[in-house]
Amino acid sequence: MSLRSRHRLLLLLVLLGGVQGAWAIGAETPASAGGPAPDASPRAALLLFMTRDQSVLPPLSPAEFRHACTTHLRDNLAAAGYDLVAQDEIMPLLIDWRVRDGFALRAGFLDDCIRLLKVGRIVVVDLVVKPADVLLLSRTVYTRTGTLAAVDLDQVALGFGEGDRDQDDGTRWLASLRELCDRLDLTPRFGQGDGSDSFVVLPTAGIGCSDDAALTATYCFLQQGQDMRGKAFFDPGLVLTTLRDRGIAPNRLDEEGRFLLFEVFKIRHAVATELITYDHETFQRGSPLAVENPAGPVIPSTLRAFTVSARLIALGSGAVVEMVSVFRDDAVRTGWFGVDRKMSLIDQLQLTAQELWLRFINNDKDS
Amino acid sequence: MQRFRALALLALLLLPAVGCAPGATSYVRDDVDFSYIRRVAVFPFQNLAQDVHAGSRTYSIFLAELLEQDGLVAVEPGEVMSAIRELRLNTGGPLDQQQVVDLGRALRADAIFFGTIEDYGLDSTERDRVYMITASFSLAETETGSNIWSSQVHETGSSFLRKLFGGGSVSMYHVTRAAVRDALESLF
Repeated sequence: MSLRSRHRLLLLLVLLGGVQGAWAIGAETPASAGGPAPDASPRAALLLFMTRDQSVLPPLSPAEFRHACTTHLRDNLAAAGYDLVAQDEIMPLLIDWRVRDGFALRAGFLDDCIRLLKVGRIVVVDLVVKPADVLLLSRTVYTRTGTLAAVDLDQVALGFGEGDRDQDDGTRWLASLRELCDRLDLTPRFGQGDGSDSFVVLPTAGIGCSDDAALTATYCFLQQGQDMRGKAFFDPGLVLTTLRDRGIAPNRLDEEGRFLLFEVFKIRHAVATELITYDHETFQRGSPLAVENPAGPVIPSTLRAFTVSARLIALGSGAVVEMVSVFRDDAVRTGWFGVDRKMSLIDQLQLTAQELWLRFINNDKDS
Repeated sequence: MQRFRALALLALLLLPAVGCAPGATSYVRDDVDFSYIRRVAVFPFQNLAQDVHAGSRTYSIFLAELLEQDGLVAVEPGEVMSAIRELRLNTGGPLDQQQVVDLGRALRADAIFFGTIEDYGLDSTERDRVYMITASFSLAETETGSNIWSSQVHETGSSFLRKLFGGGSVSMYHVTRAAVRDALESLF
């Protein structure tokens, strides 16, 4: 029997409602590595990744920024009772497993964290530096189960006025960063024995928006989903690397990819999310005859009008079981006396994610 | 006579509002039994508009509206993209009948939707900021690859009443959704 026919047969079995896990085909992942998970080891590792808008030139170098943020977060985590491994200890593993961004967590890397460093949790933090704001996006991953213990995100406006940006020697940047680190809630909300949700969430794909907006949308969707459903998700980084290591792009989830997700995570559905912007003027393609303005989209740093949509994909049949889409166009609200109030990116996306999950849950109840 | 003149004047005034009225022109093959179509796929839309994301935006709205129809199952777009890659199909132009059959077989789909975005964004003929879309959609059954439905639609964010009372254009999202609904109405 060819591999493709075998896949088809097994997918048919899924469709017919075969018992989950009855055919544990043996992919060794954190999810299947050990039986009932004991309490996580108090040892934890902090991984910080920084994304900087290329137009931003703060007085501090990226290295200084990263160092300041790491120091604040390590202090806060230590105060919260985390026993953190030194950066030097985890660095060889990051190099060995090519962990270059927050979504490159492989099952083997998590296994090595347990085996070599006795690390029970990994705190992944994405620091996003934008022209007027700094964002911190964090998620805590259990190394044994690959599920998320907590997701939190926050942003702070730098509050520069006209002309005083150039006069800052970095003090205001550092103060904003400290404020942000202090506000970040890294308390685990889910234990590793709480089990995982019945589907995996793929990172949000962005259409016409910056990478950091799509990244922020992913975190918002995860946080709201976990809080509203009361169940932990598998880490989307783990889902992504599982697919990519077999040469499957998440936006081309074919039969092999669906089978792989089912086999590894023992779930029946996947949720694919999309963030699509409708900020028109900034997206007109330049005239092909223009020398100064070559064709190609211009990415805005904020969102005005956008939709976030989520598709629930049945891994057995490859069909979209359900699709929910939410449109927002209220980035700027005019208040009393005509004063404009701008919503932050996180607030916009949090509200959208909340509405999206609410509709998802309601539709689930109806069906 | 004066009454006739007043009526003629009123008709003349209303003419611009009616002249480019939004709506859909559709063709449905009447010898096809649509009830056997259960599983459908949506091919990536061809984009002839200036806006580079017009195709992707309309695609997402089209898929969401399609899934509102009872009894219809849509193939995951990622699966469609994967099959297109495997069959080495060109997404920039129309497929021939054999390619439609092959794609349908690969996706186990009864029919495949296609779309072309002809014009999208701000209407340059309007003095105010008015969004509009002109698009055409079609459906081909995968047994023979022949076309069984097509619809051309034009929708704007403005209306006679909106103009009369000074209202602005509705958003591009709502204009696109209205266009898609208009088109699909002729099928379902």
